[in-house]
Amino acid sequence: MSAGLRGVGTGTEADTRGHDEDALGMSAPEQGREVHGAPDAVGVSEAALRRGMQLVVAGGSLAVAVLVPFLLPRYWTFVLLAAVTTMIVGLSIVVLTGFVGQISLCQATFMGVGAYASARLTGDAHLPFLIALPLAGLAAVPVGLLAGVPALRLKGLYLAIATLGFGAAVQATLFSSKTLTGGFSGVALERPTVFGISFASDLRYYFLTLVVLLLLMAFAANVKRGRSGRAFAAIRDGEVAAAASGISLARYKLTAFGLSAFIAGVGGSLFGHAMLSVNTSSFDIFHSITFVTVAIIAGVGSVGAAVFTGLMVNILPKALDRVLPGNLLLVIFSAGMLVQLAVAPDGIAGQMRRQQDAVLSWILRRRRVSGRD
Amino acid sequence: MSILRAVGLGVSFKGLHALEDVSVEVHEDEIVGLIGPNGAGKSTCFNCLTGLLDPDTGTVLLGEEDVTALPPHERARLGMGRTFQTVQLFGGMTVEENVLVGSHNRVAHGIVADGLRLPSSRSGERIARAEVREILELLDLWEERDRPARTLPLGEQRKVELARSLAQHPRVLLLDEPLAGVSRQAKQGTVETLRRIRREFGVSLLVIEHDMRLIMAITDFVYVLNAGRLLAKGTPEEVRANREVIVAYLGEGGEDRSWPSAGSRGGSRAAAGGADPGPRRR
Repeated sequence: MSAGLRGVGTGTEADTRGHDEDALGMSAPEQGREVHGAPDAVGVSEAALRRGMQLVVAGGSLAVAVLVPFLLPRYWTFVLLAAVTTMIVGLSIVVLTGFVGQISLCQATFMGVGAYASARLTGDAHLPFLIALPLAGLAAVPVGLLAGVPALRLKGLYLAIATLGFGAAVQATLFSSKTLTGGFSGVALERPTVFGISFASDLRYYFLTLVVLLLLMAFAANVKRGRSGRAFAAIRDGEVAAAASGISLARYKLTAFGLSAFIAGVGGSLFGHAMLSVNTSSFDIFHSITFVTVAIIAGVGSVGAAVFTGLMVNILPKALDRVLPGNLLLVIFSAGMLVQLAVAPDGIAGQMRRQQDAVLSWILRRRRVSGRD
Repeated sequence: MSILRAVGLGVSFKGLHALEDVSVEVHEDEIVGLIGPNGAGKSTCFNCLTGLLDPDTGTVLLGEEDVTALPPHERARLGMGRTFQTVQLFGGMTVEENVLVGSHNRVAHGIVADGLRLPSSRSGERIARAEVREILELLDLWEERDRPARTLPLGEQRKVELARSLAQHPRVLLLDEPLAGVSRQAKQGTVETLRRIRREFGVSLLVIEHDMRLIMAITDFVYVLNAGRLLAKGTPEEVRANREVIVAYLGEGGEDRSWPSAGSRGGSRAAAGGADPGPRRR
């Protein structure tokens, strides 16, 4: 599996110059740019250095993601697996909030639709997992479009409340229905088998979800750099000017909700197959609130920021759990998040990007000095 | 033949008439000026033409098509470009990305094509970037293309906004005070630029401007608004000689004083202040 994973990594790298860099916290202005900066004394432009650094960080992160389950006790594999599904949900928030500036407090609802759809498609319809997975994402799209309708009229807090209400309504009806979703007893899902290979173990299934995460991140990074991504960013930065430039606000806001719901739906499906069963409480609105809160603290300015959401929701509490009692932990965790938000309004990913820039300019300075000597 | 025509536009805010029975027309290859004291309704008129504001009465025709009921982005798609009195650039984007937004409807590939980097996305991106490069070079912005747009001086930002609207390849371009905030030295450059874009892009212009030197220098026809009504229209020379216009600008007794020239905007504004019952801009 890890060989296949490497294949995916290099393939996308070659195909889509720049998306891997984006995967590690680059903001829009720096990405997808030609190397044209003045070469310094050693003959390497700043842009090339920057890209090299991004590649190192992206490759390093990927290497860590591949190696870490082998280095940690087995208990952690499941935690890592859960973290990757959360990263996918984090990515769905990056698309909606980071790209287009819209907010949704019903991402867990989209996850739920994906998970229940996947349970039906694999369990009742006996569809292969690889077909059921994208279909589960597609099943969440109309729900996302519906949730996005208030965004055509509302902004900010009002939009947040409207989507929260939407999530609560879906939970109270669809997710509580004994006939449709099994209600409180829920539905069972199985770990998948793909092309005869079983992904029943946590370890194997972890790598499968990791590949899906990477593919979705590549998709999102490509969208960001293209025509649709610019339309999204234009709406985020100024609706009046965006409309005057010929961009349909309604169309692109709904598109963003649809894409976000698709990604969250895929994440929900993977989550369901990870947990082996889901029920009403798996996707309640408090999960949605947690996801959005953490995602904003983690940063939504870049595709790579989604990684931090998973790390913070699933791994950080478990890691600190070993050294601190639970209640105290929660207090420290929350306080730390508030401090983090005060220090870096663009989130942890934004902060890391600035540090990376600092390192880069330090390298450049040194090279200039040595070049002169 | 007329590219843009508004007939009998009327708008009132809370009983206050911001525009009353205003008709303007821009012909092919024409540069038309829209002038008037502050609060006369010029920007309100622009907002009606571009669809930001629904007029209470009147119709707007773009070419042959009645666009009165269409939202701004539809009018933009049909060939109407605009810039804003206060520059409205996309702050998080570079100069080039800002202008690429303008080329949105020059290509048509969708989000799935972008996400999967399908051939349609790649070729569309190539086309858009080539067109944008041409415009950036024409406006001497190519060297600045990778700078965050918000870090440019105001005059340059106006140029980026102009470039963005040009990237739409509009049939008619509505410019709201293109010289505001532009340095004295740069003003002549802007005048040249406007002449050149009419020539090279075959685009008609409707220009709101306080700088009378610009209006006299480049317009073929001028409309004068005052207190929401059309006060006068004609060639720049006719309008300049119109007594009512002089009174509206300079107040009673203003006939003896010279026409406000470039750089005396503050004066004309102060003079217009008294006869300015217009509502605030939106």
